Amino acid sequence: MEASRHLRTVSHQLQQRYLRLKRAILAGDVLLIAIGVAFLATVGMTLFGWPVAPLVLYGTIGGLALLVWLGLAWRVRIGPLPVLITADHKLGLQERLSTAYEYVEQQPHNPFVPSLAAEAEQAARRVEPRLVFPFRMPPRLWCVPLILMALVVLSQVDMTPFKFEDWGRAEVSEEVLTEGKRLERWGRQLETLAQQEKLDRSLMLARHIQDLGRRLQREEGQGGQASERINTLSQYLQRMQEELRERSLMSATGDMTVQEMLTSGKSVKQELQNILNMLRDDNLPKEMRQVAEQGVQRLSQVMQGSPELSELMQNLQAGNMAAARQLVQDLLSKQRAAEEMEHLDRARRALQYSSRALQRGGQNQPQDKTSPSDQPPQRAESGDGTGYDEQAMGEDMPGMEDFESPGLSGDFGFSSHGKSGDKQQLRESEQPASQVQVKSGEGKMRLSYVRHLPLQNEAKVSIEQAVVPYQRAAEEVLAQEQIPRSYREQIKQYFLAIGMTQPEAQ
Amino acid sequence: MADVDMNDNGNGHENVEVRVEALRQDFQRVRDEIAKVIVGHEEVVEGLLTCLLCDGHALLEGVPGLGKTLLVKSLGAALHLQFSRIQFTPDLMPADIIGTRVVLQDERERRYFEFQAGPVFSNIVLADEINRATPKTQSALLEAMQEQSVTVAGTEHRLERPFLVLATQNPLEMEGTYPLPEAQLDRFLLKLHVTYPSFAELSDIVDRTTQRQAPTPEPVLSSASILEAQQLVREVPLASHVRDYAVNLGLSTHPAGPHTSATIQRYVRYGCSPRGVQSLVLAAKVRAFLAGRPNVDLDDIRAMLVPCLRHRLILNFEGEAEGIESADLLRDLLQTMPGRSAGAARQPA
Repeated sequence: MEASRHLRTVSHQLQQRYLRLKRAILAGDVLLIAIGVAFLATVGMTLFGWPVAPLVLYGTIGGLALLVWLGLAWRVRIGPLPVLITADHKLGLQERLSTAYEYVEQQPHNPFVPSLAAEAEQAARRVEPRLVFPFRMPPRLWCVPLILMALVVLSQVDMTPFKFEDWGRAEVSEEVLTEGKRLERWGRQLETLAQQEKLDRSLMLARHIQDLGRRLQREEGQGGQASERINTLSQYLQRMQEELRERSLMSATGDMTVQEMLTSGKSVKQELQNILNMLRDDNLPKEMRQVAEQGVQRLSQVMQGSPELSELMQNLQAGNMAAARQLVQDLLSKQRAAEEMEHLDRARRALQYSSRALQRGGQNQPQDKTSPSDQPPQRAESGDGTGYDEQAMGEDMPGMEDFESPGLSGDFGFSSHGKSGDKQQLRESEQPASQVQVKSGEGKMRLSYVRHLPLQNEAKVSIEQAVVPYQRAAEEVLAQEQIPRSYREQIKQYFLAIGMTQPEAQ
Repeated sequence: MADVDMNDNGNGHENVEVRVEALRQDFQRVRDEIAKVIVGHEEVVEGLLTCLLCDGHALLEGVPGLGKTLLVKSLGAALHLQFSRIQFTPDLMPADIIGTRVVLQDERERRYFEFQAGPVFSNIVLADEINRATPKTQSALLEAMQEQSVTVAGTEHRLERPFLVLATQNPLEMEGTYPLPEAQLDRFLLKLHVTYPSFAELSDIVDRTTQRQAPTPEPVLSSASILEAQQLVREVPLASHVRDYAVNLGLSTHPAGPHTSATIQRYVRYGCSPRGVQSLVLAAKVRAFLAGRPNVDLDDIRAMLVPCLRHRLILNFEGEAEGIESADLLRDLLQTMPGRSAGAARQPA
């Protein structure tokens, strides 16, 4: 008679029961993870517009989940002894099943084994696998139907693709938004140019303009408030121009001629830089000196009547290289200041344009409802007598059309202060009927200055070096609106007062 | 799986069952005979029988007057075994226990040495108040307890089996006593606490001892039966996971053990020796045997843990200073290691 038939049957049943439960719960876990992943992917598709077809996505997740489950389920193993021990413990069988199984297997000749096996057989008949391994739903698996329901609801709801950039824009009016975008774009263009030309002030201002553009897009506000902000920045720009003008007048004499292009194809600045490079050596060879003189002659053709060029030529011919080098450096710095002035002027026009556009926005609201990128802006009939081609303005920065950086693309240069080329017509002046070429600006200005050594016990740092950085920092803070409004005017007056006394002191 | 024929009448698995059952009944009769004299103390009697079946020794600890000596004498009387009693005193010498060589003279007046066996040459030795003798004398028992032999003047003398040393000691009177060294404590299979009787037990004791002549136990078990039972006990099946549980318990009595409790980590300097785990498993087998079960279960191990190991733990200074009982530490360890999950398959969850 086979003594351990029931014991073997029971151990097999217990093993099967254990494996079924383990694999079922494993399937539940894999399902939970798969549904979680599907839910997150659906959130991504719904809110952020991820370009994935739902069928492909769910099919992929389902297939992967199935593979993972098969792999894990295949690895689930259990021997007969652990399940019999569990049965002993659960049913209070005092280790009979497990001991009998082990001894019948390994030590069948033990004198106690027959009685032990007989008792185990009797106990095995009473063993119910469901009682040994009852099915208990793990609490975490209750999340499966909940996530499934949420997934179905989410996939049925039609939601507009969500963008973080849209946050906080609910209260921003359309025209402010448009102008904000436009200012940001212009700011980027100006920044690119300023970086190429290495113009610090223009770079800083370009970043201010971009920052203002972003703030207009992001923060609450109507046209009036936005216009006020633009005006604040415009005032800051104006002060920057004044400061620049004062500095260039203090450091050199002569008019501010910029962007001249020579017949050799080089710009004035490039020619000056070349001459300066040649003059680095005090003992300039004769051939090199002749080349430098030729360069000065080319410059003279463009900058007619420039006393600095005449003086430069004389020094070159006299062999006074140090004086010649100083003159070239002065001319170069003057040229750079003029370029900077041009950039700032362009920015000022951009700000004015935006401010005016915002002021007009209230009157032309029905026309401005659509985005400028969707619909070309119509020509505005402003009441100030100045017409703007808004399509052109929407694409390019105002002032960009009448200026090209030397060395960028143009074959010839021109002055923004009255000198025009073939294709360089000011758009602002394109619309009026008058075809008379005029010079705008303050005209030529001359200012002489006196250099002298500092007096004893006087400050070692010049007022120009001391005031300007502080003034610039104060203006930046004012422009960023970090100062309460009631203090701004006082700060502005303080620095203006210092700036006004500066020329007089000298 | 190998097949086992439960109707194998040839050599006698059935005979074994019969013999096992007969031995159980004999031991039950021994219990009954002792119960004629001793009221209560069932656990102590069970412990003494366990020692007898394990071929081990027992240390009985209790205050004077609880019947420790009477209990041991009653056990000796219930068995067909030689019984001797040694009263340990400070002036007791080792030769008084193991014997000595004496000079004798034959008919031709020639003198010669002859070994005179001491009281240790007996089946059951009652070492009464063992802690009153000096360590030198106590150690005279070491070889006898472990090797069951005595060496005198280079000659080894075997002790007759079964050999059982039952020692008593008084935990209160510490003046003029010599605590047993760890090496000797470790040789005792069990340390049994003789507790004060309950009201009903004390009433019964008073009635039995003051009204009429106290009955004396009748010898019911021979040495041959005891030796046979000792052999059978060692055959009681022990599942591997139950054995592992006992081993883990033994390891966990050490402060750096794998599943040790916080109290053991705090109060124990050194845990039980491997001999302690051997004693635990053997005592658990006896418990299953005497209970009529064909295998050892976890409860047997748990039940025998305290009497088997309580005298084998060496407390550290903090434990000694706070008066920590080793038995409490072991009970705490049992709480830490219930053993229900030993070797079992975890519920799928």
